[in-house]
Formats: sequence, structure tokens, C-alpha cells
Amino acid sequence: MTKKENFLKGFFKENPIFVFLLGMCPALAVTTTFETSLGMGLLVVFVLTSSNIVVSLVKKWIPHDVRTPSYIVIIATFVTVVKMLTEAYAIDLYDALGVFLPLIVVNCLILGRAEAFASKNKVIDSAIDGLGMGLGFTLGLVFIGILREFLATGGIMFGVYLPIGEAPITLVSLDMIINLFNANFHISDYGIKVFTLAPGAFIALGIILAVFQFKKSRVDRKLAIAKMEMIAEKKRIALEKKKQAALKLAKAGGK
Amino acid sequence: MLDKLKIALVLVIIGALSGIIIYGVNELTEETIAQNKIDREISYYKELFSLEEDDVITFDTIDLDNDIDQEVTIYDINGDIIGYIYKATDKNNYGEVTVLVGITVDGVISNAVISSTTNTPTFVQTIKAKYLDNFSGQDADDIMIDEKTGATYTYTSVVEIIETASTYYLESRGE
Repeated sequence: MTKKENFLKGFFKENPIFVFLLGMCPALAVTTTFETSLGMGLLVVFVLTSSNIVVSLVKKWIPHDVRTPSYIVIIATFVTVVKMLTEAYAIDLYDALGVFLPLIVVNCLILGRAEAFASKNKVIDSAIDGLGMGLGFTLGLVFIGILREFLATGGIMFGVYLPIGEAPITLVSLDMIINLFNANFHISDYGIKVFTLAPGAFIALGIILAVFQFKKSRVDRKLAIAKMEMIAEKKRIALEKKKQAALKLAKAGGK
Repeated sequence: MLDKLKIALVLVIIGALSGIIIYGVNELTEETIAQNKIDREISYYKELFSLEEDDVITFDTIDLDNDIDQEVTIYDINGDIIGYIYKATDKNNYGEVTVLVGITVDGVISNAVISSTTNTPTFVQTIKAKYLDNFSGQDADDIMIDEKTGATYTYTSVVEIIETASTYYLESRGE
């Protein structure tokens, strides 16, 4: 596997959320808005990349019997660091993520990558794997977050939780279009509020998984058809060769 | 035997290094976190009495050793009492809920805010968005509560704290 393939595999082919269904707890709990999803994703990227690097660095010195508790201590250290930094420099995000921030420590994606990849590969490859998988995880969270926030409020806000800029800005809102015709209309009053709640998270995840599976099944079907066509072509060629061989034999017999 | 010692040594080293890293980051962030908490607390005080962000207030804090953790007396710029804030923490099956309850000198609940909690954030947001405002304007000696909130544990904790704060206010400050 090349470094590029290693980096890109986490985005779609081996996406932790949509393919492996890992890290479902934050995927369902903190994806109420685009921004909390992005914030959680970036924190996971930091923890995953850092823990992958450290696990890969110390893998030779950790006895096999205690590797899992050792990896958990390493991951917990980075999660504690991230928790303190978030509480100091992004307190709104810290409040919004609540108990799910320290719960990164039990995110099976992180322990899974430490066990399955970092403990068997070189430091640079492990760092690339952590970064790619983390960004793939972030992409998954952001997909769910955008869908939930948009369906619940009719728009996407930015700057509420992350310490960026002075005041929150509206990235997208249906109000922008509707207000051209009716100035007093507020789409947020008509949002589907269930998407702010836990059931909404399951529904949003289900919709996205269905789209992923639909696309995957179409690709699989195309591959299956191509394979069948290839087999049929090979059979046809083999049959032709047999016919030619039989013709040659018949000619030789006639002579 | 040597193998076990090696395992123990490796675990001790990993634990020690983790401790050192966490200590370093704690040193780096401790002051900022403490300042953030103070700023957040003051902004809650202002929110409880519907004050503007640039309004100047002073306050006296008394630590209590009963169900209420703190009583904070809020003064305006002239030194007149705006009201009292009661801070208390309740434990439920999902963790802790800390609530600040603001009561004016007339014995009216001005507002209540959840200042920190380890309960499920979605439920906490629901309580904050829909149910806390219902306490505003109620008399401390006659509190009406919503029976159906969809977030039983968090809301029960909030109600208990508000009732305890009201009782304490009536006993210590009521006429």
C-alpha cells in the first residue's frame, strides 16, 4: 500500500463510521450541529494521530501481555491533554461536547488503529494512517452534523462553539432564498426538531448509511457484471479455440 | 520473575511519562481554565438577573455547608443588592448537575442556569431551551413545575436544587 493509499483509505473505502461502524457513540451524540461534529472530529484526529505515533515508537518495548492497558494509558494521556486544552482555549466547545470529550478514550476506532496498525507498522505510516482515519472519521461526523443541523434548523451556523472569529456566521440558510419572497419567514420555526434529539441522530445515520450502501451495491453490481462478461468472453474464446482445433483435426483426418 | 519485573517496569515508565505530560499541560492551562471559570460564573450572574454584559456588578460569596454550596449576594454599581444567587450540585444516575438559582430581594426567582453537568448534553440542552425559563418570575414560596419534560433525571435534579434554594432563601432572607 502506498502512502497516498494509506492516507486516503479512511475517507471512503474504509471510512470508520460508514463502513466499519466504529465510534458510534460520538457519531450519534455530538452531531447535533456541523460545528460540534467538526470540533469532535478534529480532537479525534489529534488523539488518533498522536497515539498512533507513540504506539508505533514504543511498540518494541511494550510486552505483549500488557499491550492493551499500555495503549489505553497512552490514549488516555492524549485525551486528558486535549480535554485540558479545549477547556482552556475553546470553552464553548468543551461545554457542548460535555462528557463525550473524555469518552474519546474508549472510542474503539483509536484503540483499534493502535492495535491493528500502529503496533505493526513504522512511525510515518502509523502517523499517516492516524491522520487519514481521523479525517475520515471527521468527514463522517460532519456529514451527519450537516444533515441534522440543516433538517432541524434549515441552515448551517459556524463560530458558535469553535473559537474562530468574533460572532457566529450563517454559512447556509434557506432563509436567504425564502426571504427574497417573504421577509418575515423564518425557516428555523419550521425545522424538523427530532433531528436535534437522539432519534434524529439514528435517522440521519440511517439515511447516510443507506446512500453509502446503495452506491456500494451499484459498484458491486457493475463489478459483478464486468466479471461475468469477462468469464463469458473467456468461455467464448476457449470454445472458439476448441472449434478451431477440432476443424484442424478434421482437416488432418480428411487428408 | 524477571519477565514480571520487566512488565512492571514498563508500566511504571509509561505511567510516569503520562503523569509528567499531564502535569506539564496542567501547568500550562491551569490559570486560563481558572480565569475561564470566573468569567463564566460572572456571565451567569448577569444572565440570572438579565443584566447587560457591560453592566458593573460586585458580589460577596459565602460558602455554606448544607445542601446549598454557595450563597452569592449581587450588588449593582451603587452598592444596592440586586439579589441572591444560590449554587448547588445534585447527583443523579447520569452524574452531577450544578445549578445557579437567582432570587431577587422581593423573593421572586429571576432565573436559573445549569452551570455545569455531566448529564447527557442533548437532554441538558432540552432543559435549558424549554424548561428553565418557566421558573422565571415565580415566587420562591410557590413554585410550579412541569411534570413531563422527557429528561427526567436532569430535570428532577434541577427542580430539587431550585426548591432547596428557595427554601434556604425563605429561611435565611425571607421576612
